[in-house]
Amino acid sequence: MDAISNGPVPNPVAVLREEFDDWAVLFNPDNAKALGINPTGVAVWKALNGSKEIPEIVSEIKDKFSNVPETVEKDISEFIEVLTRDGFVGYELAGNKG
Amino acid sequence: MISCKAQEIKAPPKVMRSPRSVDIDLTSRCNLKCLYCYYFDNPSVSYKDLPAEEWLTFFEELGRLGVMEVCLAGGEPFMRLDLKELLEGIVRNRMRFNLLSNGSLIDDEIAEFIASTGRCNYIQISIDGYSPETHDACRGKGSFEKAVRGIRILQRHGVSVASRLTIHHFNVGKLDEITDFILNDLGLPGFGTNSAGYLGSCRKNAEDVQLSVKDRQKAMSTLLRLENEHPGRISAAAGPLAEARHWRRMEQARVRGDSTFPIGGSLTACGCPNQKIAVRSDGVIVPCNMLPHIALGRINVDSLQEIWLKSPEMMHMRLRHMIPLSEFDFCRGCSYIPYCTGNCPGLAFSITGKVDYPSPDSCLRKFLADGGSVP
Repeated sequence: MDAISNGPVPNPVAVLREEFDDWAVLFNPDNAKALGINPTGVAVWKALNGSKEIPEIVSEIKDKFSNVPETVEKDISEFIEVLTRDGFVGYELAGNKG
Repeated sequence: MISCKAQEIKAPPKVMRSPRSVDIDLTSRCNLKCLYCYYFDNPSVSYKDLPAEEWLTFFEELGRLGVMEVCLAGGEPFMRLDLKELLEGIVRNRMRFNLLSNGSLIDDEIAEFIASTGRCNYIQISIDGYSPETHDACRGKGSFEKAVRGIRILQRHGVSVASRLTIHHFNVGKLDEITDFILNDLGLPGFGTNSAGYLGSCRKNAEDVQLSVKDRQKAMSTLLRLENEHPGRISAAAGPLAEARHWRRMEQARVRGDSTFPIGGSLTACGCPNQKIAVRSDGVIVPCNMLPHIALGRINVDSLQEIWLKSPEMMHMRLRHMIPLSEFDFCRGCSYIPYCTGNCPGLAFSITGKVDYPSPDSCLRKFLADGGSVP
């Protein structure tokens, strides 16, 4: 079995609708799932590129936001689990990398 | 205290950066001539179609703006021979779609294609009867058989089917049979209801087609009973069932002396201009397909986002909810004002010639004065 990429990869069909007050809706047109996300969630989404593992994303969030809670790593892991469950992100098979 | 609460609720709404949904009249052509059609016979509409390329360019703009879905109607959208190409454009631009149809032109090929996209929320087929006599009364001979065939084809291909029952003078006495037909014979999970409204072609056929006070009373009581017998399977955003629900709540609130409903007391109507916008078949952008005379711009010429965020007419539609009903002579002295929304601006315009006016069609006080009673 091929190894998978280091970090989660955003589904290219997913739509990020940035609404007002920096809140956003993530929408997956393939399964009609929609997820309301806060500004931290938006930053996490934008950080996903397949090469970043969760600790690196956490580090970026800590740099970007003040008063980041101690549970941030757990929170981001859970958020990415939800994104994975609803088809917003996946993991690329290493064998598929060009 | 009432006015404080109203002030708090009626602050100008925040506007999303782009509409979530766009209603598109893909074509001005239809193979039927339904007596109550809201679309045809509107003097402010230019009944012409755009080539596919224009729509495809527009869909790219919608994709860039993050629009989530489009609702395709007309006219009859299946009249477009290039429908597949248009749907491919919608899919390519990361959107989902709904189609509103009479069902008569649906065949296996297009149904299979729609299923293959995986992006169709539903296709809504109008069903006004349980037999050719009841359905065809307003929609034309042969339309019942074709609509049912269209639904069967869609079901065979696994496409989600919704159904809309428009209630009029000729089918109001058959709502039990129609409900049984849609839910049991057709096997649909539910259906929506409305009634023939004073719009488009219905204006010239209103006396024959529209519900009288007696018809409306009958429709409301029957639908409330049917809703009770089939929980969650009969829906309504307008028409007799919606009115029956709302008018009951209004009367109960009035009797109890409740202060106000959260969206009551002013021209709040549906709130659609905060969520979506519409485009006519000739490419003119309008606030809503019930208000096709308010031209905001043209697709591929004007920026949809600019219109959405900055058009004075759109802003006005959003602020319309700050106009208190108590300002209107029509509403003066009405004890239902705190619970009333002024209802559909499209119907208000069609009946009175004014958008910023309560719709007399859905006025409870008028209904009671005309001999009706709260269901």
